[in-house]
Amino acid sequence: MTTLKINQLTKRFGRHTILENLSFQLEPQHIYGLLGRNGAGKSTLLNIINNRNFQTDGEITLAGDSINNTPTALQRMYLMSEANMYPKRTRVSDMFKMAATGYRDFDLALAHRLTSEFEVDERAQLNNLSTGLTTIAKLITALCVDVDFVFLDEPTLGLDANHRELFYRELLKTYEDRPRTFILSTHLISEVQPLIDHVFILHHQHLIKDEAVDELLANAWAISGPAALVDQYCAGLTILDQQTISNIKTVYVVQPLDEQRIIPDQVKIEHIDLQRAFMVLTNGKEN
Amino acid sequence: MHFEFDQSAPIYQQLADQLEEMIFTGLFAEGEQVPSTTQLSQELHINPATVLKGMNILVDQQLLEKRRGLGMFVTPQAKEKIMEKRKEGFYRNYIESLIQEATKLGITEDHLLTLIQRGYQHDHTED
Amino acid sequence: MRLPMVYRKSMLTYFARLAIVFLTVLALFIISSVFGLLTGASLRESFSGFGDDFLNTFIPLAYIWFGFYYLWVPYREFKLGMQNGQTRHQIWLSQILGIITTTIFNFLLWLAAGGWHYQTITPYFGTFLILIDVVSLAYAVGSGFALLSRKWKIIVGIATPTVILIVLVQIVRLLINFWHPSAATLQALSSLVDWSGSWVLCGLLWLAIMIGLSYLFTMRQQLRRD
Repeated sequence: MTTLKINQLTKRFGRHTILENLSFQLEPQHIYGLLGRNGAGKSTLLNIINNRNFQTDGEITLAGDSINNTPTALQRMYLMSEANMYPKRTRVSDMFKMAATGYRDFDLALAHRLTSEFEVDERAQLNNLSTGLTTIAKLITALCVDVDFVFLDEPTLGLDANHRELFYRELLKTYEDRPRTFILSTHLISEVQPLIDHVFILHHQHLIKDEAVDELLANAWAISGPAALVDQYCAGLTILDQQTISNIKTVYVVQPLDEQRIIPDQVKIEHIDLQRAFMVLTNGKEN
Repeated sequence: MHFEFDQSAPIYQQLADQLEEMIFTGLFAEGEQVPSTTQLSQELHINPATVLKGMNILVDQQLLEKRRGLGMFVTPQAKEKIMEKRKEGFYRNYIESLIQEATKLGITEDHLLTLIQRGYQHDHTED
Repeated sequence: MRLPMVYRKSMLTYFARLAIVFLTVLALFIISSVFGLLTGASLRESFSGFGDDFLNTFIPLAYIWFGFYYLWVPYREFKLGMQNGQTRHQIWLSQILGIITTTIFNFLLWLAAGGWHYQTITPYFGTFLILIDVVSLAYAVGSGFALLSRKWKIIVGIATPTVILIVLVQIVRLLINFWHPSAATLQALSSLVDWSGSWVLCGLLWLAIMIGLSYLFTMRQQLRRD
């Protein structure tokens, strides 16, 4: 298994810049989270990585070769996307068949087990399935196909809570059975936080975070207490967000805190979760 | 007793703490097998690397041991080890905060000692 | 050997839908024959419509499907190919294989409909060339249109034929007004037109251009946002 490298990637539509100079890499056997607000360019990025759209600049390589028009590269990756890639009257079983002929291998036994777990009729046509069941049919295909990189764009679109739980469990199961790389792009940050080990955050055309979740959260804080004391403690820190209720102030920072700095008695410093960290990192308007 | 996670610490740390508590209370007896990484990962929807990291903390502390091909087992002296460790932390975790709270409430040292003695006599009535 | 995914899927779609056309025509013929039988005609009279009449109805429909298919499928099969790990090269190659397959199939239909009795090879070769020229034009146009959003499809769809028409009219006008060829030149030209080799060359050139265009278009194909 090899590394997928994204090097100085830029995408423009006309004069509009969607992604600017992104560089990062996807290593074997990780579950990555790709986070970004609506319109941040997550889907565009995934489409470019999977050669469905072309970048304006930069390159994407797998094992050193550009992925563009490279069968050995495209055979190693699968993108499950919101975009409808199938004709309306495609049956769920047709999706499996096509994946089986297009890719090296397809775990049909697993696909059958999953369709019965999720209660999807394999003979049903996509245009007769609800949003949630369509998502499930695509997800099952994505989990059963033999590739090294599985990109899941909005994998929980339309899924109820029970189906989401089932999906998370099956994802971890197949990940343990056949370790490979997953990239989840989703807005349900709290739900995927324990699943992912590394996070990418896209904001205003740039990659603003490329970090292990544990490391990011180790330095993500809510500092609260009497306004004056909080201000005093936070002098010199980059305040990403704050809220004040009468005299009580809460300030959010994502940076290492100086352990030497004395914490006033009434000031409380707590960890925040990934969703809160994401919100404070991405709530700024473009300057 | 079940696993539950909040934002107070990294998930692997919380997992280690809660497993330790389960061993301490005897939910997993010494010499007994604990759930596998796979089981915990799939049931709790946690990345297996995170689960492993948590388990390894307990392995480092010799509370768990790997038996090749079988899984993870509680070590024979696990409970004793936890007890020793907790005794060390008792002063910092309980006494310090007890005195801090007592000071805030204006409870004197003598009064606090009396209260502790009363606690031992199972007398719960307030002053 | 495993057939390329897009080729396999494309041929399944092509022949499955053609089979529907075939069965529909067949059903209509059976109904009308049975109807004839009920109204008192003899068995022989009733089923005389079979054979040539049936073929004469089905084959033109098959040709229409053949000409239409590659206008319709390029984007549809680009998406299917992309979703299933195929490169643009593989998708294009699959379509070219499909074009050859369907051309051979329609050539066989032509033979079946009575084209088999010629003594020389020229009509056979000529028919094959015409068939593949038509279908490669359809694929070139289809893959070109696949690049465009709906709005641009309409614009280009109207503009291109208009421009071609205007240019042709102007060329003809210029020729009539300013070109007064000598008798010898006319003679040479007419012999060129008479010589079947020049038509074959034109057909092959056309094929090469269409295949080249379809290649260029397919290599530029992206997932559209509409």
